[in-house]
Amino acid sequence: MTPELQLQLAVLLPLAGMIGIALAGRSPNLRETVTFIIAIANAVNVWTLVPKVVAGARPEVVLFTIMPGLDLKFALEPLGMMFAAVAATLWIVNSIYSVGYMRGNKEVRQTRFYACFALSIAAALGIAFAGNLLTLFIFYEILTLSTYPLVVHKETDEARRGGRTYLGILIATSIGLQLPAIIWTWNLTGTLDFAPGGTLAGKVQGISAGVLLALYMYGIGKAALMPIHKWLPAAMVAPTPVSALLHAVAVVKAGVFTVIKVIVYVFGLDLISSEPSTNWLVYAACITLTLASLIAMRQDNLKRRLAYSTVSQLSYVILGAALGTAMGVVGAGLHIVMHAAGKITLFFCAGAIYVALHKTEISDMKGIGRIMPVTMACFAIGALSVIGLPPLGGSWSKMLLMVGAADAGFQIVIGVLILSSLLNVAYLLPIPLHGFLYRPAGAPEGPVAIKEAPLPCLIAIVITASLCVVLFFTAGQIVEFLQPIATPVAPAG
Amino acid sequence: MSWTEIPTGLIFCLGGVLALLLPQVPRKLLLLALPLLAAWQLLQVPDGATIEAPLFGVTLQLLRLDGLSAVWAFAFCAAALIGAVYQAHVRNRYEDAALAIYAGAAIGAVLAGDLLTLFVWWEITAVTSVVLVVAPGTETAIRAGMRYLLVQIASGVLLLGGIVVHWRLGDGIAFDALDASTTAGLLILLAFGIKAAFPLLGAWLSDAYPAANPTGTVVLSAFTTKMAIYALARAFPGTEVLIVLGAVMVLASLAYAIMEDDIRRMLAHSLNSQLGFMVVAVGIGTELAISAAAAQAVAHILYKGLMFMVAGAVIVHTGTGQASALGGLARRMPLTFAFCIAGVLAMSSPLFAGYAGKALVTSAADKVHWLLWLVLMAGAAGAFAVPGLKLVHGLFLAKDATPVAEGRPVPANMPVAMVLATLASLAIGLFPDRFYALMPYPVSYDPNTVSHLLSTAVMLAIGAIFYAMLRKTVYWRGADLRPLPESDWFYRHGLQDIWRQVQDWAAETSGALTGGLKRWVLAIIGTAGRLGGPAGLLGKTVTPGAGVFWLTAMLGLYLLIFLA
Repeated sequence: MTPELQLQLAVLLPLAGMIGIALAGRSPNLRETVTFIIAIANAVNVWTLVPKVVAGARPEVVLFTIMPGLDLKFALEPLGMMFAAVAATLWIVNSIYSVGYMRGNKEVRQTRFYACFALSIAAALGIAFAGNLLTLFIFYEILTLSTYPLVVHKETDEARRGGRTYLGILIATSIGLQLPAIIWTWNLTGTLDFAPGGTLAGKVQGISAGVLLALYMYGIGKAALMPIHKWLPAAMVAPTPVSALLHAVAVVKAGVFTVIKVIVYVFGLDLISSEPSTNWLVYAACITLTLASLIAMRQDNLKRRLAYSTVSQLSYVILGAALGTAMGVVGAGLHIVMHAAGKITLFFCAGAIYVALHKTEISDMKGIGRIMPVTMACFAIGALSVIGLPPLGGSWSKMLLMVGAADAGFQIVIGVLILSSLLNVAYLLPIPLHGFLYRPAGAPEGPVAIKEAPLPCLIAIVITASLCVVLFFTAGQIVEFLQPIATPVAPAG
Repeated sequence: MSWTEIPTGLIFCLGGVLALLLPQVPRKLLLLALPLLAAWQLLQVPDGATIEAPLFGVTLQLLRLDGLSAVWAFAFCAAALIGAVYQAHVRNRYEDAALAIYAGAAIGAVLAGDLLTLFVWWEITAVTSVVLVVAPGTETAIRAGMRYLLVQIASGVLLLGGIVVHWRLGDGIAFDALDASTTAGLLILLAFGIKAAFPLLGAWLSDAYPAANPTGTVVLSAFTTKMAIYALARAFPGTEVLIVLGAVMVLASLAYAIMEDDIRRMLAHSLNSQLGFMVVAVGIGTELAISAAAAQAVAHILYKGLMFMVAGAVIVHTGTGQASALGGLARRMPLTFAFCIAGVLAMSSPLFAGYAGKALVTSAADKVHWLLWLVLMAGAAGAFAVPGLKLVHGLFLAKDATPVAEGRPVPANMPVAMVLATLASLAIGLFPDRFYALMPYPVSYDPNTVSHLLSTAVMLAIGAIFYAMLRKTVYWRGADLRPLPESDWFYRHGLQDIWRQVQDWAAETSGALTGGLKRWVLAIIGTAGRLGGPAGLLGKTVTPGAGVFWLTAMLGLYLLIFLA
């Protein structure tokens, strides 16, 4: 199979899956089988592209031409490959989890749920493989719209309110800021393509470079740079599998992925690192990542705390890109992977606690480690990875971000990252600590009865937690894989 | 790949994970086997051998066995074995797994040939050791554990920051001598300083160690601080500021130990004081001094471990660790009493390990300045008084406390562990030349000269007189010991209390100004009550967030002092 065909297939497979799921809606078992078959086929398809990218292949395919010079097209490069691989792999795990969660919770309208999920994955892969800004923009909007039914899944007033905030902010910023930025870029360069080294170099400088960057950064609302972050906590009304895959992985990672794409392939690292008017982004990211941690500390609702933690971690990625150094960008890319594995674990655990014990508030979770030992142990692993402690994946991406900061001469950023790690410890680790050490409230004397979430949930949690450990040892390979995106600018190392 | 190519720390880690899954008996056997296995493996690794792996364009050195690292690696194996014996009766799989991985991480850290590998193991010691701190599951232990974790991880991230700056300035990541006057060097020194319990940075030690279970404290006392001493000896030998810091540690921590009633906290302060000896030796930095630091570290692991084991046995038996509530235990716990004497002798008397170590340190100090020698001798004399004589006399002989109720039996494995420590310490003291031959640099030194024995005798006599004086003053019957305030006051209470107080006062003053005489009186009573009451200045706990804030503020202050 040619890689060009595979690119199209990666988007078409989940779409076909969506139709299959809708048709099989009457029989839940058949419907879930369809989900799994499609998810696995999709992951195989995506992963077989990896060796080709390593070998240097950069396939492109034009879907159709809107007007001369303005195509809808897919193009493959390492960063998109990595994002696609993350989304495709975690879709399988998330589907295992969803089965346990949705059935354990007796949720309604599961067919709509699984169908929209497949559509969202198709959109995420479309973003990953987008060959130019227009394609990316279209899939970006599809992703927003296809996740809306998932956010309001419960159809309560609260869910509708959350959904309105979600849709309102994401659509408003993308149409109001991102689209003008894209048009401005086209005006300046005459192309919307992604090119190694960037297309804007020499076309824009001074204050307008800073303004254009601001249009992009705040226009890409999915990256949740403050103050465009409110949609993310609002989206936490969704069922947990949605929060886990979409609001810890696919949607938010689509946001920061777009940020890296724009900075590396539109602005170019040279422009970012040499143009002082773009430095504001470093500080904006630093402020976001610190403030979001501080806010997270005050949240008692577990999913909200995790949501603010996500806001903070997204700014790590933005920070890495904003530094404009090779190691910073590679670190940012690596952080997408590391944070995906860590945060999806944490959300899975939050959902498992909800399914098994119907608890959502952290202050009610004292002693649950004794009731749900596996879940809490995995929570601790995920938390340690998000904090960035060895032997878990998160430690390397944080280190590379520090390296990027040192290379860029922003030593103050290293201080911010150090402080942020401590803040992460302060708001994440008390949860497993209190979970394991206290006795559950109202538990009778003697050993506490174990009551874990349904088995599929547990399997998914263990898989992602193990992934955090595995990633610690494979970080070197991922970095090597990502290295080419930054090499046209400066030799890394 | 032969099995000598597996990093030793990794063997412990795998063992620790396995320990989580095994039932009691095989788990305990595994715990005993791991240190022996590791030591056997290290014996087969040829001297100077390394294991290398590429990462991010640099080369990691996962294992580097040379003179310096070997001393610590084997000492840690011994400590892990003694610790495993001592906690053989504890039925807690988490504590067992933590012991294995914690010990392995410490060994991994001293065997690390590059800074990144060091960082990885450095952080793993933090995360695993906290399990031992919080193991009792009490509110106090959990809070102390959270503070401990924050401080330990702060050390780790500072280390990482320093490594990154150092690396990107083009200086590579080799774990060799560093320059403390650069930003990178300073960050790394701070990171080491936190774990080595430098003045103002070391309050975590006496805060966390006594919070653990009696068995956990013994394990904790061996690794983290000595690992930091190794790191200092490797990276900052001859850095003169260490001499001053070490001297301050020796004397200041002694004062804290004297004013402490909780025996484990007293021992923790004393541990801090003894670390000062090693820090001074590293600061001197000559070959003799580095060997002295190594010898002292080994001896210290043994005798301080022995003392903590005695304290643990006393706590298990009597259920209390307050010195003022204990007395006359010699008849009830004759065996433990014997080990207590052995521990005190091991610390300072000829024929034991501590003497072999201290003689070397004081000789190295004497070559620098007589004043330094005097400080160390005073520190040694003080240590003989407190905790030495205070344990032997105050706990076991003097009958000035009402005896506590008949106690629980001490598990048989505890004395076994104490025997091991005593024998090891005796072996070192009896054959100092063989012991010195193992040190990183060749030492031809005879500690048993007349002048040394004489000065030691004088030192012990002064210590005894000092203890007698303390008995007449601060330790008289019914005296109320007030522990001295420590630097963690800043992040535990400190300015946030002052700020709250100021707000209250401001509110009251403004109320009083408008409310006449009655309000004035109420305001004064209220203020007095708030200051002295249970919620007063020294009675509050702290949220993790505020903890982080004050920790950072303190580190900033430290940086300022250093850079100025």
